[in-house]
Amino acid sequence: MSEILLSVFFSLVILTVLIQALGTIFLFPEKRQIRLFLLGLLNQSLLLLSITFYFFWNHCSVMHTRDITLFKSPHYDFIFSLQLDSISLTMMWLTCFFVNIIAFFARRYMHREPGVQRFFLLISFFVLGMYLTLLSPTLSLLFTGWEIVGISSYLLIAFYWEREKAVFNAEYIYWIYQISDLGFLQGAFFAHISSLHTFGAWCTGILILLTAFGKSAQFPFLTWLPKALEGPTPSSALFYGALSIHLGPYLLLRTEPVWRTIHGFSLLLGILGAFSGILAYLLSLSRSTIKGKIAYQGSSQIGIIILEIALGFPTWALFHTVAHALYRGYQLLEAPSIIVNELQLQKFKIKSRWFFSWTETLPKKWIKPLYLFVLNETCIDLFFSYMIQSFSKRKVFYQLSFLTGFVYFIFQSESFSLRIICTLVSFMLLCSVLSLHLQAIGPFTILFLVYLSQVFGMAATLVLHPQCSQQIIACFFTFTGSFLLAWTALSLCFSGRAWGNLFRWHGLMRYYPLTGALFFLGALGLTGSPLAFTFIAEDFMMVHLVPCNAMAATLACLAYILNGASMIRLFGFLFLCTKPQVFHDPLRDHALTYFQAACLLSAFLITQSIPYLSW
Amino acid sequence: MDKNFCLKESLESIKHLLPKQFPIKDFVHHNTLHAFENLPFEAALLEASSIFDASAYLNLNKYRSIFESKKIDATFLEASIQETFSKSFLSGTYFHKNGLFLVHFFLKNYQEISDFKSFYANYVPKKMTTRELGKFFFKINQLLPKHVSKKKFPRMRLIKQKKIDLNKINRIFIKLLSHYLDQGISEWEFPSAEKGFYQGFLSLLENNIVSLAIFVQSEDLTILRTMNPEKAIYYYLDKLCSEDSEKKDYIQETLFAHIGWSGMVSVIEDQPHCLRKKRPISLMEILAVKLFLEYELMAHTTPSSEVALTVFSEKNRSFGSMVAHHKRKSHIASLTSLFMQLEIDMNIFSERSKKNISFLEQVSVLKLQEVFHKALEKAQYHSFLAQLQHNAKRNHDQRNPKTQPITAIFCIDDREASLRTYLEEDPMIQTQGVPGFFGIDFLFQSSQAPHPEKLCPVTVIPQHIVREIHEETSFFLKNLKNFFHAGMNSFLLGWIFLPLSAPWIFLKILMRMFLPTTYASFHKRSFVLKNSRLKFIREGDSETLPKKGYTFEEMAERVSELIKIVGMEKLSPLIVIMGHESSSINNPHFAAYDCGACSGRSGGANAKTFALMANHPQVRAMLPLPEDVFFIGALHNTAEDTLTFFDEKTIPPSHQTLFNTFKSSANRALIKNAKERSRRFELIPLNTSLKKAHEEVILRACSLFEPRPEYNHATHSFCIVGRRYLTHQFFTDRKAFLQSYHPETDKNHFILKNILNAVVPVCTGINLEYFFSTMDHEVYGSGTKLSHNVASLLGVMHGVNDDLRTGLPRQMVEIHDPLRCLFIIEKKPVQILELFQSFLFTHYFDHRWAFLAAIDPENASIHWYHQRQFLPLFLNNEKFEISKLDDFIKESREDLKFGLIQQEL
Repeated sequence: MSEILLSVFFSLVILTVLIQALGTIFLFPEKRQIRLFLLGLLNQSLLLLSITFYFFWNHCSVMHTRDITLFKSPHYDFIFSLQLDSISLTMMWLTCFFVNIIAFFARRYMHREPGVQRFFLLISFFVLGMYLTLLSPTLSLLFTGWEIVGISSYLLIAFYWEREKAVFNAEYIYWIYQISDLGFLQGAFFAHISSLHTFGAWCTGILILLTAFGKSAQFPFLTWLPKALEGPTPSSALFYGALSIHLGPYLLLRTEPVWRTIHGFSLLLGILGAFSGILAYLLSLSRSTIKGKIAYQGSSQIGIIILEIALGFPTWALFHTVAHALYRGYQLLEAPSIIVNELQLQKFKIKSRWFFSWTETLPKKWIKPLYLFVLNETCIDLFFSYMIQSFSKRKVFYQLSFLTGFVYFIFQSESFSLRIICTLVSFMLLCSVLSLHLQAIGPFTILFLVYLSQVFGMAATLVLHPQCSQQIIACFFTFTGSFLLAWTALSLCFSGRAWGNLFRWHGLMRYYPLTGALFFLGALGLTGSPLAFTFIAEDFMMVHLVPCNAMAATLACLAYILNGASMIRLFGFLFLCTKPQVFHDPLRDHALTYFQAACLLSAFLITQSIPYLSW
Repeated sequence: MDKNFCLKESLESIKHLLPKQFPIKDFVHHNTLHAFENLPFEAALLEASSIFDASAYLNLNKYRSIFESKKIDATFLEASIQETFSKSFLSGTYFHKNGLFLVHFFLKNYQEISDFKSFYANYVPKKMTTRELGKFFFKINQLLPKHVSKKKFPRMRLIKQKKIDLNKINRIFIKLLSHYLDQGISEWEFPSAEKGFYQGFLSLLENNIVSLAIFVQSEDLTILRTMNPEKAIYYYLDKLCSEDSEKKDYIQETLFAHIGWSGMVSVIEDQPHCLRKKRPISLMEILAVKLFLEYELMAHTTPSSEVALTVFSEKNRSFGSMVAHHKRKSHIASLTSLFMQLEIDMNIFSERSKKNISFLEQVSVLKLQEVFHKALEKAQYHSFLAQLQHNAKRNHDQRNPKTQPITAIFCIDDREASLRTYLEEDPMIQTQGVPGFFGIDFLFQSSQAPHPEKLCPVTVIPQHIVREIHEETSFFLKNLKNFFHAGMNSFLLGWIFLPLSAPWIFLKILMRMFLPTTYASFHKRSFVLKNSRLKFIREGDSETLPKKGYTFEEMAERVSELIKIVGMEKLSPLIVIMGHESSSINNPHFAAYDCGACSGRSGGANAKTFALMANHPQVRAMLPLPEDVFFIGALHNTAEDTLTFFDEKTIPPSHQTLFNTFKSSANRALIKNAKERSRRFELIPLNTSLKKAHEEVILRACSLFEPRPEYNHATHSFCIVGRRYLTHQFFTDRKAFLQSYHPETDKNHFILKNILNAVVPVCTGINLEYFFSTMDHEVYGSGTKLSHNVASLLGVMHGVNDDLRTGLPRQMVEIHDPLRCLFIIEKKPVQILELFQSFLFTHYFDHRWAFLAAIDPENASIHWYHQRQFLPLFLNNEKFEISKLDDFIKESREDLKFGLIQQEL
C-alpha cells in the first residue's frame, strides 16, 4: 500500500512537470497552463493527505517503495526508490502548502506576463526536485533532487533573461551552488571510508557542512541570497524565503547519524551556525532595500536553526524551520507594501529594535569599521572579485603550472598511466574554465575542452578498472551524444553568420528558444548533471575512482563542478541578455528551428538510451 | 580653473536631463522629457532617444496591430505620409508611384503590393539567401554616407582603451548612496549622515581598518580630504579626461551610468524637504565621490602615468563614434529587414543615384514610425471631435439647463467621467468637474499618518496647515505592537517568537490569499476619517509658515472661487464635493493612482475641508449664497468603486431626503461604473453581472497578488474644458478629462486663464508620462512590476544594488495607446488667441507636445490650433449612436468607438 501511494504520488509530480513542459513548448494559453498546474497541485495535495493518513495509521513507521534498478552492472547499481519518514513528511507538507499558496498568488500576479508558461514549468520542476530531495533514501538520488532545485533556481533568477544583471547574478549563484555541490559529491564518497579513520569522517562532516551552508546561504556563502532576488516576487518568496533556502537544515537533520558520531563536530557546527547567524543579522540591520533585508533576516534565523540542530533539538529545529519558512515567504510576498507599512510603523513610533539600539551602545571607535564592513557585505565579494581579477591576469599561468606540478607530485607514488591521465584531466579542466576568463577562445573550443576533460576522466577510470570497459564505453557514447547535441545546436545557431566576440551577450534565445533549451539540456548532459543519464556515468566513475585515490576523486569532482559552471556561462553568453544586432528573418528561422529541434531531440533520445541498449 | 570648462554650467545642463521623479511615496506625474520642452515634439523625441538610447516610437508591428484592430481608415495614413514627406522627395525614386504603397505594405495588403510588384516586375527578386542578405546589408552600408558623431563618448572610450570596466563601481557606489539616503528600511543609519554625503563618505573611510574596496588607497583618501567636492572634481577629472572639451561628456556619462539615482539626488538637492530624514546631498558631491572611485580603480589596475585618456585623435575616431556606429548598424539592420519584407531587390540601389541615397537616408524606420504615429493620432482625434460635435449639436438647446436639486462636483480626472455619466442617468443630479483639490491648498496632518502631507498641485506651495484631531493610541496597544514587531524580526527573540507565532502566520497567509476582502476590512486604513474633527479655523495670528488653518475671509475666497469656475447661475440645494483616491495593496506606485491635483494623494481631506468651510455660518455670512444650499464632502475610491461621505450626521433634516436619493443613485452608478471598468480586465468575463463585476473590482483592490488594481489614467488622451452639455450623454470611453467652464459668464477670460494654468500642466504631465512610459518602458518606464524591490523608501529597482527605475511600470501602461493630449476648449477661437498672448504654457501647443481645438459655443464648429492660429476643421464622420450603453460596453475589451448615448425615454 505504502509503495503504491508513494509511487503514484511521485509519478503525479513528474506528470505535472511533463504537462507543464508541453504547455511551454506549444505555448498553451495562460489560463489553461495555470489550470493544469493547479489541477496537478490539487491531486498532489490530496494524495499527500492520504499518505499522511496512512503514515499515522501505520504508527508512523517509515514508508518505503521497492528498489528499482535503473542501471545494472557487475560492480555498480543505480537504484531508484523512495522513502518517507516524519521529517520528510513535515517538510513535504510545508512544500505542498507553500507551493499551493504561490500557485494561487502567481495565478493573478503573473497574468499577462510574457513567459508565464515557463514560470509554471520551472515551479513544477522545482517541486519535483523538492519532493525528490525529501523522499530519497540514497545520496545519489538526494543529489539529483538537490541539483534540480539548483537548476530551477538558476533558471528562475534569470527569468528576465534580457536583463544583464539578472543573468549575471544567476550565474553567480549557480557557481555557489556548484561549489557547494562539490561537498555533496565528495562527501558522498568520503562516507564510504568514514568508518576507517577520523580524518575521513571529519572530511565527510565538513563536506556536508559545505553543502548545507551553500544552499542555505550561511557563512562563507552568505552574500548570494540578496543577489538571487531578481526573479518575479512569488518565485523569490518560494525559493529564498520559504523552501529552497531551508534545504540546508533539512540535509543536516537527514545526515545527523553521520556527523553526530564525529567527535567535536557538533561544536563546530553550532559555532559556525551561530556565527553566520550573527553575521547575517548584522547585515540585515543595514540593508537599504527591503528584499535584501528580508533575505539576510532569513539567513540569520537559519543560522539559529542550525545552532539548534547542533545543540541536539531536532524537533524544535524542524518546527522552527516550518514557522520560519512560512513567515519569511509571506514577508517576501508582502515586500512591495513596505512603504505603506513603514508609514504605519512610523505613526505608531515602532522600532524593530525594542528597548534600545545596541549599535548606539558600541564604542565609537568600532562603529565606522563595523558599518563599512556590513555595508560591504562582509567584504566576501571583494575577496571573490579580487580572486577572479587575479585569475584573469597573467598570474593564471603561474597558478596553472603550479597546480599541474602539484597534481604530478600527488600522483608520484601511483602508477605511471594514472599520473599521466590525472595531469591531463586537471590540465584540460583548468583550460576549459579559465578560457572563459581569459577571453581567448570560441564556444566550440570550450565545448571541446569540456568534452575532452570528461573523456579523460572516463579514461582514467578505464585504466584503473579495465574490467568495466563495457560500461565505460557506453558512458562514452552518452557523453558523445550530449556533446553532439550541444555542438549541433551551437553550429546550427550560427550557420551563415559571422562569428563575433564570444565575450559579450548574444541573446540568441530571442530567436532560437527551442535550440537554446536543447543546448541547455545538452550542456547539462555533457557535464554529467544528475538531470541527464550521463549522471549515471559520472556516478559510476566516482564510485570506481574513490577506493583507489581520494585525490583523483577530488579532481573528478572539480572537473564536474567547473565544467558545469563553464557550460552555464557559455549558455548565458550565447543565449541570454541584450538585443544582438543580428539580422533576423522570422519566417526562415521558424522552419529551421523546427527541423533542428526534431533532429536534436532524436539525437538526445538516442544518446540517452544508449546505456540501456548496450546491455 | 579651466577656461573652457565650467563645472557648474555643465552640471546645470546635465541636471536638466536627469529624470525628475520624486520619492515614490510622493509620486507625481510629470513630463518624462521635460528637458526638451523647448523643442518641437518630433525633434525632441529624436534628440532624447539618442541621448537616452531609447526608442522614439512604438515598434512598427505594434502600430500595425493597433491599426488592424481598430480598422482605421487608410486615408489618415495617406494624409500623414503627404504631410511628412514632401512630394518632390517621393517622386523620382523607386517608390514614386505614390505614398499609398507604403500604406499597403504597412497594413499588409499583399494584394495591393503584388500589383505594385508587377509594375516593377524587373526588380522583384526571388527569396534571398543568407549570403545575399549579407551582400544586401553591405551594400546599404556602403551607400549610406558616413556620419561622424559629434559626441566622443570619452568615458566609453576610456573603458575600451584601458579594458577596465568602470561600471563595476556602480554597485559599491549605489550601495553607498542608497544607504546614505535611506528613509527607514535600514535600522542602522549611515554614521555621521548629517554632515552631507561627501563629508560622510570621507569620515566613514577615515582611519578605517576596513576598506571600501580593494582599489581605494588610503593615501589618496588623504588627498581627497584636503579638497572640497568642486575642487576634487576638477582634480580627478583632469586625471581621467584631460581634454577640456570632453569633460562635460565625461561627467554626463558618469552620472548617466546610474541615471535614476542621479535624478533622485538632483531632486533632493533642489527640494530637500521631500525627505523626512534630512540628508544633505548634491550632484556635485556624488560626482566627486564617483570620480574619486573611478580614478582609484583606474590607478589600481594601470600605472598612474597611463591613467588619463589619450587625446581624441583622427586615428581612434572609430572608437569615439562607436556608439554612432552601433546605431548606424541597427539602422541598416532595420532597413534591411524592411526591404526584405517588401521583397525588394537591393540591386536597384546599385546605381548610386542621388535620389535613392537620399531616400535611404530619409525612409528610415523612424520616419515610418513617425508617419504611422501621426496617422494614429489623427484618426483618434478626428473620430472623437466628430462625435463630440454631433453631441454638442444634439444638446445645443440645453446649453444652460435649469438647476437640478443635486449637484456633484467631481475631480476632472478621466476616471470620473464614466461615473458622472451613470450618475446623470438620474435626472435629479447634475455634475461638474474641477481640479480635485477644490482650491484648498494646504498641508494636511492626518491622524493616520506620521507627517503632514501636501494636498494641492505640485506647482503650488501650501501656506496653511490643517490638522485632524486624533486620539492617542493606547499605551498598551502601542507597546504590544512594538513588542510583537520587535520579537518577530529580532535575532535573539526570533527563535522562540517565530515557532510560537506559526499558527498566527499560517492563518494570516490563508486570510490574505483566500479572503482578501475580509482581511482588508479589518485593516482599513483611511487617510482621513469619516467623522473626525478638523482644526481648520485660524488660531492665533502667527505669521510663520505654514499658517495654522484659514481665516474666514480666506475660506470665503476659496469657496466663491470654486463656485465661479463651475459657473452655475443658481446653486442646487445639495452640493456633493467628490474627492477621489485609489486603494491598492502591495503596490509601491500607489501614489500614482491617487489624485494628481493633490500631489498624488487622496483628495478626501480637501473635499471634507471644503464642505466644512462652505457650510460654516461665518463663511456663509460673507458669501451671497442661498440659505438652503448644503455642501457635503465625499470620497470616491476609484479602485474599489465605493463612496464615503464625510460628516453625514451634520446633514440638516431638510436635505436628508435629497441625500438619500443621491446615495441610492450613486450606488447604482458605482456598480455600473465598476462594470464598465471591468471590461478592461481580462480575468473578469465580459458578460459578468453588474454585482459580480463590482465584487471582482473590490477583490482586485484588496488582493496582495494583484499587480493591476486599476488601469489608472491609461488610455487617457483628451481634455475638454467647457460646459457639461458637450459631454452630456456622450461616451468618452474614460479617455477624457472633463473640466467645467462657462464661456458666457467669463467675459475677460480671467477664469479660463486660471483654469488652463492649472489644467494644462497637470494633464500634459499625466499624458506625457504615460506616453513615454509606453513608448519605451525599459528606458522611460520602469519595466515589469513583478520583480520590483523597494530601495531606501525612495524608489523601485530590479533585484538589489541596481539603478532606480523611474516612470511607470509596464502593468500600468499596457493598454495605453500613446496619444498626445488634445485639449478642447469651448470658446471662440479669437478669444483663445487673445488669451494666449499672456498664457504661460503656449509652448506645449506650439511645439505639439499637446494639441488644441476650439469648439464654438454658438454653432459648435471646430477649429484646430496650428502655429498660433486656428484653422477650421471639417469633419464628415457619421453620427455614431449607442442605443444601450450596458450592452455596448460588453462588446469588446479593446478601445470602443466614441459615441452619443441615446436618451432613454
